[in-house]
Amino acid sequence: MHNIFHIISTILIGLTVLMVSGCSDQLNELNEGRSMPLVIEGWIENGEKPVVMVTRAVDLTQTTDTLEKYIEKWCRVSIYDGENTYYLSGKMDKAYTPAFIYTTSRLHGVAGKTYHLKVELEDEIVEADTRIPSPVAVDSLRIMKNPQCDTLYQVMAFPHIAPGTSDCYKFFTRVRNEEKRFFSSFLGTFEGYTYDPNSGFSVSRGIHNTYNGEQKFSPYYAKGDTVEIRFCHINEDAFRFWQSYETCVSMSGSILFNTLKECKGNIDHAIGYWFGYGLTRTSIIIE
Amino acid sequence: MRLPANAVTHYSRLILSWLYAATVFLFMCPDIKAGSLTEAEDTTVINLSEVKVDVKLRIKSKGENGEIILSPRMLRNLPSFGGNPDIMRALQTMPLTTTSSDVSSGISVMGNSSQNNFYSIDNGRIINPLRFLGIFSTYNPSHFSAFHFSPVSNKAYSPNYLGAFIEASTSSYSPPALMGTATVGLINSSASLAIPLGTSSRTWIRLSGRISYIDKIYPGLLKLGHASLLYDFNDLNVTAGHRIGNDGVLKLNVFLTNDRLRVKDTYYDLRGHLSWGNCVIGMTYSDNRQSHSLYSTSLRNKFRMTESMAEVDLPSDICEYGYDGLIRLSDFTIGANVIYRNVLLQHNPNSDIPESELKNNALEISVSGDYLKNFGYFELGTGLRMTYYASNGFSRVYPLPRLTAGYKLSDRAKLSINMSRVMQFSHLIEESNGGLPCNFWINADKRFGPRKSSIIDFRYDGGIKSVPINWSITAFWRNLSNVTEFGGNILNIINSGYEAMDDIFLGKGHSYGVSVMLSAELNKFDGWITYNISRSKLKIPALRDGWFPASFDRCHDLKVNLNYLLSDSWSISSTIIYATGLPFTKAEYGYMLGENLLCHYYPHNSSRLPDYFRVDFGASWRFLKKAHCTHRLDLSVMNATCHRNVLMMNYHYSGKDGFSLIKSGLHSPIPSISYTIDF
Repeated sequence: MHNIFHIISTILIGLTVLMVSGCSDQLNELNEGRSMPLVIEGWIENGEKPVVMVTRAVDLTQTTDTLEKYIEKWCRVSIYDGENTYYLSGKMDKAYTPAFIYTTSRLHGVAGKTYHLKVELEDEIVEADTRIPSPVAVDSLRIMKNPQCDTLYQVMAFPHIAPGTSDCYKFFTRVRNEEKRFFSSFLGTFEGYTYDPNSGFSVSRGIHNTYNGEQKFSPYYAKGDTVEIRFCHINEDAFRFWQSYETCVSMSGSILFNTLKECKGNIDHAIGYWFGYGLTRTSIIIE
Repeated sequence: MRLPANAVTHYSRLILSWLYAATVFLFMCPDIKAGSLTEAEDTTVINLSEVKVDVKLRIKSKGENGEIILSPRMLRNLPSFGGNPDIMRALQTMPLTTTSSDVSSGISVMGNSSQNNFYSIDNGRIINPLRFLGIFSTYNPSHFSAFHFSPVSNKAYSPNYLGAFIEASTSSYSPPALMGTATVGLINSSASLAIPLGTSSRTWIRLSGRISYIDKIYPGLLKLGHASLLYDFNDLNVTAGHRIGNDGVLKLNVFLTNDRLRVKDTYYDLRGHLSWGNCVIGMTYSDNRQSHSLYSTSLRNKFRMTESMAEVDLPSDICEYGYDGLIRLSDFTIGANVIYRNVLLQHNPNSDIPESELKNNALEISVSGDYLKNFGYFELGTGLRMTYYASNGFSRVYPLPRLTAGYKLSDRAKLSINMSRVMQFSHLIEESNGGLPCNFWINADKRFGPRKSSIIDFRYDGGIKSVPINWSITAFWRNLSNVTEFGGNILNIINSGYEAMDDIFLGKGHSYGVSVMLSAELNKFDGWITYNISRSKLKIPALRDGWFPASFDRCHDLKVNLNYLLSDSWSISSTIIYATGLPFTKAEYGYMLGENLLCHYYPHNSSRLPDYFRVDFGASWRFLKKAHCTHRLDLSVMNATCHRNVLMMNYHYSGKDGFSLIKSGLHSPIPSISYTIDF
């Protein structure tokens, strides 16, 4: 019996010593005091004013604040079109989150032109270039009943895309009187050669943070909705960004599927994007 | 050495678990009698009119080289989910195995991913016997007589796999009469029938089947985030056996499984129809000198998901034909193994790629020789496996040596050292966690070479002569090369022109650790304590710089299993698991784009989830024994302490609440009850 106690207690003591050694992984808790990068969300379309939003990234380990505290309202935002420099003014606009944008009514985008964005804040300067591709027409829109639920509808768009083209396209949507801004249409980014003109392309509603609350998201539309659609001809870097964006939004909360890739924008030394869109506007009423 | 951040909680639970286990061992074993047996002093001859022999079946025993043999009766004594005694849950309490997450049914052994394990029924390989989320047991335990678990391959005749070997073996003897078992549970039911054929007691057939109905009885039970999951499965085992001569047995096995999963996520308008099915047909002959097996095994995956109007249809399958032979000649064992494997790569059926380009064949031919010689207290073994492999224009011959040496300290104590070089000629590409059928197999080729590993382990097995208490201590180190990890995402497949193979990253790894097991099998009490301290690290440059922990790495892993026979009718059991949290990739900072929260992450797997702790209780009541019928009620509570084991952590944003951290995981106890009749 003595031997049993001796052996077992030796093993227990030895293992207790081993147990006090922790897992020396490199735990990354280095954010305190570190400056978060700037986040730029900006676009310009043919015939439309530019819109730029500037915020800071949020240290998620330190805060549960709302985004309003991270808006950068004192930036110097300018756009150079190859001839003139236009300075954008900041203003409140509750259609957007964050509810503060930089824009100017003195500049409207022109297809084919390249626009250089520059954002200056204290000693930080971030810049990016984009070109507006030529707009592409939408031949028609059709409404189809959702096969899963007959009170919901989907909108099929038939853009005028040359067969086999490698150009890229993107849909943005808004339901008038329900949504104040246009949102990226869910899975609404594609390459031209994947488009089938016989079946069209389904234009879904966009997922956004409002749907994290009580309001239930559906990619479909209800009767009486006025669906406004922006069909955009986009550059390749915009295509790559929006594709990875849709993957991140869909999969980030999934236990079964994970995504290791992040959205890569086109702005040096900052997160986000500055894209030009060849825009075609259209709309349809769900009846 | 570094102390974990949440030191107080971590150590208090760890110390309490040890104290609990130590108390049980030291104070609740009234049958321990120290000292050796002494001869009776009285030499009077006594005539006995009746002798009653009580045999306690050994429900867990050890084979050679760390092999552990478990009986179905042992599984039934353990707490189980939904009344499903599961060999995988039992193996997770064994030494050298790592506690897996609550959504995973595979096991990681000696620092190896679960995809490297080899599953078989009587030597016939099963490609993927695992159930979704580990809800149901992998096998129907009433069909089998024993489960063999070898954490590592020390013999040259073992098949070419890097991981553990888990074999379910059927009985080699005819039942004396018609016998069977039927179990009815809350989420599934099973039945097994053993029928002797003829009058010679040399031929028999055993039929077993299971069906599940969790989706019909509890349609809302399985939810992951916004998604509802409807899952069910069924399986069928048929074994026909015939004894030849004094020690030969010929068996024919058929094993069919069919798993179905429907996914519905109204938030993202996601609908999925997934299914996977195994078909194994095998014939094996074995006697004391030799064994030969022929088998055909296949796994068919169907994966169809629609999200809004985007549809993803990704079937894939793998089919393998094999012969495995073994002859024992005195100190030598000669082996031969031939495998022909055909893989249909994951593909979009609507694409223009011809099927011939999607099919991929591989041939493996191996011959092996093992030599084991005893020199009194010392034994020395060596082995060499030569494998010829060819696939896709790539062919080579690989020598795979083995070396083993042992020293017998006493009747119950032995020291051994084993060194092996092993390879595996297929990769499982895991596009999902949880073992969904979008995971698919590829053959090793020039682009993705065969996985290789060198292993060395030191082992000390000991025990006390006069009492059935045993222990083992194993230290191991292994390296891995040609490790693969999938870095893409299932949604990318919507885009035509996307090649999943372009998102498969290659790297290397190593793992090391110490595992201790203390076990006792006494009159009314049996149990074991297992403690692992180990590290498993990978280096995959495409994912991140430097070494990082593998997704199954757990630094500390303590498991206690205790079973007590209260009376002839009642038995109780408990399992306690305490383990370091699994690695995960934590969000460093977040930002809003398009009014959605996106995150930038710390380097891959650089953070750890909170520690894992779970206590399960089980009780079994045997009643109404009439003639040959025994009725039994099994009660279980999994996660009896309601501890919240976190599976994942992610962030949400709402205009009202701002940024919030959501922790998902199992936190409620899961009770279950099942009724079994044995006849």
